[in-house]
Amino acid sequence: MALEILMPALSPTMEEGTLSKWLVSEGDVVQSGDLLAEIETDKATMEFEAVEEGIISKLLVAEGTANVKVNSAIAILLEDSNTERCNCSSYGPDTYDHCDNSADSQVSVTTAPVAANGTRIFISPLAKRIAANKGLNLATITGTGPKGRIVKADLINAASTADIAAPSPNMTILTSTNSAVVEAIYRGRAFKTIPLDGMRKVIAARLTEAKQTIPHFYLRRDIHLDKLLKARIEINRELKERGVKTSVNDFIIKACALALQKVPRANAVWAGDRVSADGSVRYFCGRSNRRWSIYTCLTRR
Amino acid sequence: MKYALEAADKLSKIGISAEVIDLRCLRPLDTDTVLESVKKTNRCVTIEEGFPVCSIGSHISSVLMQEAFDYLDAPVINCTGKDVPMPYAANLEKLALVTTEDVMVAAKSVLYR
Repeated sequence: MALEILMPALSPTMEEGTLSKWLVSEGDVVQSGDLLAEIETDKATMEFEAVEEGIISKLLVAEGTANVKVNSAIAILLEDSNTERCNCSSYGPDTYDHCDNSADSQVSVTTAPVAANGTRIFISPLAKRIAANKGLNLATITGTGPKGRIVKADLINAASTADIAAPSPNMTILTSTNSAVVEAIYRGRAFKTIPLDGMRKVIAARLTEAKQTIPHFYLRRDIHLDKLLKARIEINRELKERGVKTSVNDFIIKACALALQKVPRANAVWAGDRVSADGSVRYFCGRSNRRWSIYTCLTRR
Repeated sequence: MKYALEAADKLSKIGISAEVIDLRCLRPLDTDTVLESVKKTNRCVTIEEGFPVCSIGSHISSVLMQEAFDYLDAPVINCTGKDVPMPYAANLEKLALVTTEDVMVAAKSVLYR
């Protein structure tokens, strides 16, 4: 029996990944637990193991293909070694032509629309057509039909609030609009494109999300750091033998933490219709010092 | 037709406007008229007195599924007689046949009301 091997979700946030390397080739016999491929997710590169044993009949996605959607077929596994090869002729090159001939292919296997929490979205055929024409994001629409089915009336309501819903912090929406706009700016000029790896895409999406959804306000103040810098030298001298070094950033984070503890009202989260606070202080501090600009970001979650 | 027209009258009083199509002839079937109506209203309820199995309603549903799938906003509902041998007792016979009430419930249901 021919089984489709699907692109696995190797992390909870993974929506698509890069198939960086196949560790098997067509015709190989695999046991369950054998490594099939290396897959680059948005965070890391991971190895993908076989769950079933059988013969790899066909690799549907070429090595190095980026943006392979989770749950799209990446290979065909023949479960029973006695099965004749022609059984899987329906999975031949014709069917999956679009996978083979595209270096940067978005594998467009048609799947049911999926909500943010991974469940299937039910939608009437008419509503589906209207949503496709209007380019509405189904995940943002609440269905009022039986079992949460999205019907035409829901779309009419959604369309009136589309202006608010449109800039939802969705990664794909961001990249597509940005790339189109940027391309228009650069049209007719020589420019080079620097591709992004998965992690950088996530950083971009998360920072954009933070900027869009969390109110930002900026305060300026001159602070004399002489004492702090002296203390830092002192501390670093003591920590030298342990190979630990504190940075000025560390002090800023500590100062923020103390300040938030002192003013608990500022240490809270706007949760739509109420304010949530649990008293603990958590930070996200990101920093990159490669060729990209350095950013430091303090957030409370 | 009687139930369809009665139901349409009652529905219009609660703000539901229904197009009633009298098929008159089943062979040849005027599918174009039905399709045009479904494209306009996006829903369909069939009404007949016969049994539900292998009914003309089933056939119309199947045609709509093939020809007007993208226009349907709700599943097609077939109002038919109940799937039982026709009772002799007058009170049971009434219950076994399709009623105006059945048609109204079906029409509201395809409108998600």
